[in-house]
Amino acid sequence: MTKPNLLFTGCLIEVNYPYLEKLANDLLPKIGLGISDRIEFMCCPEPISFRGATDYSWLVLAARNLCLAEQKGANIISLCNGCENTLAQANIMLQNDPELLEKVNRDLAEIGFNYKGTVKTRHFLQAIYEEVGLEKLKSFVTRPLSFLKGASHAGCHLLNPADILKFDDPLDPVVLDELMDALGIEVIDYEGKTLCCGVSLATADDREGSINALKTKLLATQKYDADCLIVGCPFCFKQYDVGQRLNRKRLDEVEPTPVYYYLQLLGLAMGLPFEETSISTHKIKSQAHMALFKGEEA
Amino acid sequence: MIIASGVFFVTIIKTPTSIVKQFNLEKFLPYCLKCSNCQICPVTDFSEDYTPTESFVYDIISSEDPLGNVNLWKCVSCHYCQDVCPFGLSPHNLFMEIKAASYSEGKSPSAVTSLIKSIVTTGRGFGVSTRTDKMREKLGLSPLTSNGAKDVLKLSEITGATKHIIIEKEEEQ
Repeated sequence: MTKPNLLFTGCLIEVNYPYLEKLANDLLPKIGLGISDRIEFMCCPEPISFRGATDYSWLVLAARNLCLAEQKGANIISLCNGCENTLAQANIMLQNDPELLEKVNRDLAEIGFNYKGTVKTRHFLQAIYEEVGLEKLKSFVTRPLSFLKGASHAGCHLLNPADILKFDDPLDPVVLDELMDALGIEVIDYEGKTLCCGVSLATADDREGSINALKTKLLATQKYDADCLIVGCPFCFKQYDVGQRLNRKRLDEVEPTPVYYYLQLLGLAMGLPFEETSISTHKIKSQAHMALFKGEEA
Repeated sequence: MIIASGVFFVTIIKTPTSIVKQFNLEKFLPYCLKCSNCQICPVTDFSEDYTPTESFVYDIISSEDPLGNVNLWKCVSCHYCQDVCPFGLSPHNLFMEIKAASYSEGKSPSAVTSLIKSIVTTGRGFGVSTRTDKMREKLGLSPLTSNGAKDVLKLSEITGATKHIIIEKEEEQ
């Protein structure tokens, strides 16, 4: 019997972008990825600074989340690269090292938890790609988005470490491109696909670096005539969308570029009304795209 | 291995002995040939004075104050350096160890400490506001609770994550 899936939204989506949680709940079951009733996970926890500062606590807190899924006999589908990165790495560490698992379980016993290692975690793009598949995905598309010239940004933490995330070739990623192509989007191949969004540099007090990352990426996509950036991670989304608004003065060489989270486009391609995508709440909007999303003539 | 030994020699001269010992660098540094493959690091493209080769071998390890070096926390854990290293070295793993020591000595950037405090005390990296509640209600999503926060705090305490954090009493409840 196939295990049910639990949605792991992550802090950023459930707190700041809950409409993405809603879209996942509504759309994934329609394409064959059933989602069980929401349970409340806590922070994955964050894989860069939190893990860097306190590696073992990171592992135990991740194990707690994995336990919550295991208690429901479920697997996890995550909506954020950072969450998937943490959960996948922690899961492999625990599954491959019985001594470490025992140690972690001794700590988890303090809250009455025990992890056996039976949970499978996947990012939603991975679940769509592997379980639904491109051909079946295409069969759900009633309104191909052929007017979009999209540049994909899979994001570092979904690609690496590749032997654990098992999503795509980190040096030449194509999976997100194929998923975009399935929605009818014209895929723009460009140099700079694997550049980091730079969102976490701000945590390291390097705002300049973070702005440069934003600018470098947008100049790269612009050079290849992409008219939007397509992501599957709320942190990359926030950096590119809110970042362009906050740093407008520093980005004078850059055309404002709208950013879409893959599920928003999946919804539109499946005939979901524009209003339900919450694209109108984005900081960077393309009037031309919005008219086409609404089915109006541009 | 002559070249490797050369690098070892040069690097050791520049690296304070205490750091070499603390992070087991004797086993690590001889193999770094500074081939620069790890220049693939995406951060090198946009952060001044940062490259894994420079930061890794010189800047961080040989810094007078490696634990307080701001470049340390610029590593975004993308693992690209590890992917391309011909010797399978992982600057990233070493950075993680040094990050941990940096945090323990209170030398991490303030944003890092704030993030850790938020996670261990509330269970989340971001604060839930009334705006969140309203947005979720409008979308028909269940409200967020902090039911798991107590367990997160307890696990954080027994595993040492709260050691360097001042937790106000009201947050403990």
